Amino acid sequence: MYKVIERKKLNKIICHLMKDHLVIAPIKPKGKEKTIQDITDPEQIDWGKGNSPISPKHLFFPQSEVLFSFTRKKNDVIIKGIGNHNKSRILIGIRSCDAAAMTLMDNVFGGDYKDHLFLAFRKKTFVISLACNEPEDLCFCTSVDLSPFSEKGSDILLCDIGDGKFFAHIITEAAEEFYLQFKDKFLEPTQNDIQERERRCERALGKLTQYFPVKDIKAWLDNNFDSPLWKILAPECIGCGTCTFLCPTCHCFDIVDESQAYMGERRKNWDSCAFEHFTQMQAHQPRPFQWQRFRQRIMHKLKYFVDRFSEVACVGCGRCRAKCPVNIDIIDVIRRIEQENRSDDSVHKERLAL
Amino acid sequence: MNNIYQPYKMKIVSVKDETQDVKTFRLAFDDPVIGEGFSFRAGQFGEFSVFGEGEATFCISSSPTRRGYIECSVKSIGKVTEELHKMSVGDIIGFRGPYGNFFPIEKMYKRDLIFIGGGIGLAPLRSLIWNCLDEREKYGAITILYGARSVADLVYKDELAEWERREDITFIKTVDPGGETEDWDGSVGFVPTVMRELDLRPETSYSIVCGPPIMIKFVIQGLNFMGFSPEQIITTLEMKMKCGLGKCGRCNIGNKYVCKDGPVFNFAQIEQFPKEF
Repeated sequence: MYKVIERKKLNKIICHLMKDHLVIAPIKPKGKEKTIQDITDPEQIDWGKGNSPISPKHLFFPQSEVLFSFTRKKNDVIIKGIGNHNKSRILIGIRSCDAAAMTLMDNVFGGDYKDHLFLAFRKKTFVISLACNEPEDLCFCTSVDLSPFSEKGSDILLCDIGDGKFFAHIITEAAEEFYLQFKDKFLEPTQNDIQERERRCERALGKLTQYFPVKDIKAWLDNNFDSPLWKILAPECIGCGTCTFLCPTCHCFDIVDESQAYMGERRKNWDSCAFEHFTQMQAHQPRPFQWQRFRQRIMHKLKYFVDRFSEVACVGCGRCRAKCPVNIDIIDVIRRIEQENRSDDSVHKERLAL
Repeated sequence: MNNIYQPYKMKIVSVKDETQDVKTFRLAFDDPVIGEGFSFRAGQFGEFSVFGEGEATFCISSSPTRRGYIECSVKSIGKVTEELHKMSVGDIIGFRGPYGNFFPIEKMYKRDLIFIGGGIGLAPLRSLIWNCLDEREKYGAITILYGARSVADLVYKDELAEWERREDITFIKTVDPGGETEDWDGSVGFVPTVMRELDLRPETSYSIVCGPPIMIKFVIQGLNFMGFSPEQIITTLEMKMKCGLGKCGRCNIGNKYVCKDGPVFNFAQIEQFPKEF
């Protein structure tokens, strides 16, 4: 269902919802980078171009999250679970790519053992995302089956069509209920609105004409775990973990206890395959070198995740390309592998011809 | 919805010193109702925790046929295990599990079984060994070959003595050259060497192997030479784990998660793995 809503009216709805919902949105504090956090006034929402350097994954998979608390007594331990006390939330203004990323993590945190904390956050969050009218230079969502106005993971997808208006794609059942609740605030789209949206979509797509073979290198990855190429792909990697922390789909974590004398908490904390300690055992380290840890990251995203869930663990947001302190670019890496793949292929064909 | 990360409370029922740095803990569920409903299969593991120190991954080393308790054998080697070693009878620890797959015991019915263990690697085999011995009639000939660096490093000494006395199994114990004592009555030699003396029928057998990587490497060569196919050689792998549930992302070898797809694999499967462990 397609509707149109004026920003003023949308702000009114948000004000109304703030009474019993937590509203979270991208904001741009003065002199600081764009971030994603709770807001108290819809005027705070940053609808401008450019994605936030941090992704919204921390809203579902917090950087550090209490799993339960405990108190040690003589010959006993009292365990206190964490209830699902989080308020219903409206997440508004995040980009399509980040909304899609959350559905990728559903694969991991759902399944046969369900991570109740992650799933409760997902269930209680209504997502109103914003299509990217102006994708940035480092974006490549169209190379991973997404687009600047992909609906994946969104309840409502807004597209800014100018004149203070949004084109609203009402996607899910929850969104239909939302629409019915605020029906009087929405307008029927005019022919002009529809054309304007199409124009903006086309313009956005025009900025993403380059196709990168993110998914096409899978066959090479399947057969080249031992390729000498791995050693030379990213020699400058310093293992800082920035790419994994900024990535909206990276989900590896650690479980640690933090305690004082008799009380403490067990926590689930972000971890990274870039770190040496990630796989370090007392007597054994399967990935002693940084290039092996880099290989794990690429393999996990573009092969292992695909093997397990039939999707690449990448939404093309470009954050890792933008923020790597030593300028490692996953697209360079993918292109290099693609080159290798093609030359392997031609060698293979030559052999066949002989 | 249950909190998959929240452990059961278990009470330490007994602690046994196996070697200088290995102890076996017998644990019972603090809540007997949970204890009654609990079952597992030989080869599965759990996340054991000392509250305040964290979790560590161990296989369940007791047999599923022995109801009412589980055991784990722990080498004091890091933060959690050192704290665990300081704990005593009556103390409460955490347990999540059972996790992972298990030894394909149904396939082993009527077959000859050859258990080859080295050092603390006997722990996961012990679960299966007692499982088979407790239903002895279901299996063919059972051979156990166990070795350690020195006499002092042998674990489960009482049980080794019991296996030695039994007439329905063949038991051979060995220590590495130089690890023997004056009164040592077992073999002296590395496990892969001693193995050559075994009289086996590879065509109807399964071999279950666990121990240090270097031992496994040469044992596999030996078994292959004797005529065992990779499918007939089974082991259990160890990688660093945190969640045990296929989520935290660290125990993978290629696209296989040791915590979910394993820890039990046969060597036909392992040959397919990238060389990462």
